[in-house]
Amino acid sequence: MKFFKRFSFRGKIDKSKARKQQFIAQKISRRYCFSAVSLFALQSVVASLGALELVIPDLPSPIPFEYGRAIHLALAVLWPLIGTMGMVYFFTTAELNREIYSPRLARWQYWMVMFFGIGVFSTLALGIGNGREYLEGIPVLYVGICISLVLASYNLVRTLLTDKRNITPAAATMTVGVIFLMLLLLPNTITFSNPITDEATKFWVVHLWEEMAFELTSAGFIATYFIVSGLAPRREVEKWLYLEAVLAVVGGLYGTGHHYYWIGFPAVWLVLGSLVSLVEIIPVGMLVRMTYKGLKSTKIRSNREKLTLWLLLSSVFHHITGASLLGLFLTVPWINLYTHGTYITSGHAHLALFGSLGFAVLAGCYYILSQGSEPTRKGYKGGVLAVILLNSGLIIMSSALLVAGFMETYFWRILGMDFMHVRFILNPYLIIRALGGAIFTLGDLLLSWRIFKAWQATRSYRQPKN
Amino acid sequence: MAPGIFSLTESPAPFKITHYKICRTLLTTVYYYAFGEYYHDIILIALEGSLLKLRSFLLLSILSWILFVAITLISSRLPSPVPEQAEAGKSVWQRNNCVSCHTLFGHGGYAAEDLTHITAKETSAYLVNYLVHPPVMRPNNYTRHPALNEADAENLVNYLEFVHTIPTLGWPPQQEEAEAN
Repeated sequence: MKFFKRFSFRGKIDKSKARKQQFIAQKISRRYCFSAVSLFALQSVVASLGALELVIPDLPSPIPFEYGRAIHLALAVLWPLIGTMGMVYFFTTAELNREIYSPRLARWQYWMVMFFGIGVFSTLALGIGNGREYLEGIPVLYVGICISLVLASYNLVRTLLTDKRNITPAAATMTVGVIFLMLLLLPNTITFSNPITDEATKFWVVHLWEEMAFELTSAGFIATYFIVSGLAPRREVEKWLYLEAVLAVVGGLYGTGHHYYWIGFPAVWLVLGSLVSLVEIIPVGMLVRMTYKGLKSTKIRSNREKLTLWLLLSSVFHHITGASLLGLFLTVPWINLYTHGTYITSGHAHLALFGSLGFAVLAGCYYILSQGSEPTRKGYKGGVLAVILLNSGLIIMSSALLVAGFMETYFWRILGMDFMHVRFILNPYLIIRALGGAIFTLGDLLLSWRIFKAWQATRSYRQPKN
Repeated sequence: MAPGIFSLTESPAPFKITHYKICRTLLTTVYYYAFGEYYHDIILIALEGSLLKLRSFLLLSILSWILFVAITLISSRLPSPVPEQAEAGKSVWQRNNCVSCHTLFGHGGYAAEDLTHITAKETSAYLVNYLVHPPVMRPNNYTRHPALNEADAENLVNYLEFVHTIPTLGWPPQQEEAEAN
C-alpha cells in the first residue's frame, strides 16, 4: 500500500480552473467513468491469472480457464462500453452547453448497465454462460444491456431535438455512435440455430462496436475535448467530422467482410472485405490529423490536459499501427488464409481493442474524473510512468503473441506439424506474454490508483443538486 | 492594404472558379436526375466534403446499415438445414464454453486445436469416447478435459459433423496445398 501511496498524486484542487458550470449529466457521468476504471483494474488481474494458467500446468484456480477467459473477454467489451456511456453524456452536455433531456433516465441507465454487466461476470464465475466468444454471458443479460442502450439513445436524441438548430457535429456523431451500439447488440440477444448467422452477428459487436460505433463516439469525444479545452478552433475540428463519420460507418460496416472470409460466406466477401478494409484507414487518418492539430497547440498548459493527451496519443499510435496497418496486412485473403485462427489474431485483438479503444476511453475517464483538480508535478510524472508501463506491457505481450502466431502459422499451417507439438514450441513466447502482462497490470493499477485519487480529490467539489 | 484588384491574394482565380462551376453544374444535373431531392447532399459529399450535413450523414448511415444487414442475412444461408441433433449439439458447445479453448471456423481460443473439420480426421465413436472418458490434457499432469454425458457427447459430435459440411473456401489450408503454393 505504501508503494501505491508514493504514486497517489492527489494533487491540489485548483478552484480557479474548476468547471464553470456543471450539469447534472456531468455529475452522473462520473459514476460511469469510475465504474469503468474499476472494471479496467479488475480486467488486468483476471487477464494476468489467465496468462499464468496457460503456462503453468495444473495451476489451481477457483474459476476454470474456460470461464476465466470468458470473464476477460466480457470485461474487454463492457468496461469501454460503460466508460463510453459516461463520456458521451459528459461531452454532449459540454458541447451543447445545456443539460441532457432526462438525468433520471441516465441514472436508471447506469444502474441497469451495472446490474446486467455484473450479472454477466457473476454468472460466468459460477460457470453459467452461453458460449459465444466475447458474448459469453446468458442472452437475457444482454437484453438488459440493450435496454440501457435504448435509454441512452432516447435520452441523447431527445437532448439533440430540444434545440434542433444547435445540433453540433460532435454531439450528433456521438449520438449516432450510441444508437449503433444498441442496433449492433440487439441481434446478439437472439439465439440462432444457424452457426453462420451466429458467427456473423457476433462480429457486429466484436468488429463493428470497435471499428464503427466506438470510433464515432471517440471522434466526438476528441473533437469536443479539443473544442472545450481550447486546443483547436471549433471550425477546424468540425470541418471534416461528418465526412469522417460517414467513412467510419460505411468502411466499418462493409469492412466486417474480413471476418466473414472462412465462416461459410460466399467468396465475394473476400473481395468486398479486403477492398473496403482499405476505406477503414481513411477515418483513422482523419482522427490522427485532428489529434495532431490539438497536440501542436501551444495552448496546453495544464498537466491534466497533458496527461489526457498522453493517453490519447497512445490510443492514436496503436490505432495506426496495431489496429489499422497490422489489421490491413491481415485482411489480405492470401495472408489471412494462413494466419487466421492463430495467436496473430490474438496479438492484433489486444492492440486494437485495448490499444486504440481502451486508451481513448481511459483518456476520457481520466479527464472527467479529474475535473476540478490539477496533478502536482510528481503526480504528473507518475501518471506518465503509468502510461509508459501500459504501453510497454501492451507492446511486449502483443509482440510475443505475434511472434508465437507467425511460428504457429509456419509450423502448423505450412509444415503441417502436430498441433500439440507446436503448442510446446510456443511456450516461451507465452511466458514472455505473461511477463508483458505483468508490466501492463502494474501500469493499469498505477493509473487506476491515480484516477481514483483524482476522483477522491474532486469528490467533495461537486455542484449542489438541482 | 484593403482588398481590391491590386491584392493578389484576394483576386479570384478565374480558371479554377470556372472549372469548379462547370463541374458543379454538370454534377448538379446528373445527380438531380439520379437522386431527386437529395441531389444537393450528394454534391456536397462529392465536391465539398467538409460541408457534409447531418442529414446526409444520417441518410448514408441508414442506407448502409439496411443494405449491410440484408446482404449478411442473404450470405448466411446454409447449404442444408440444421438437423435437430446438431442443433442440440450447438447448445452443448455453447453451454460448456468450448469456444474458450477451441476454435470453430478459426474463431475462439488458441489453447487447443481447431475443430471445424475434426470429424474428417477422427471417427465419431472416437470423439464420443474422448468426451465421455476424457484424458489428461497435455502439458498438465492431472487436469483432464471436461467430461460430458453420452447424450450430450453424441449431440456435440453431430454438430461438429454438420459444421464440417459448411464450405469454408479452402480454410484451413492443408499441408499439401501449402507446399503447392
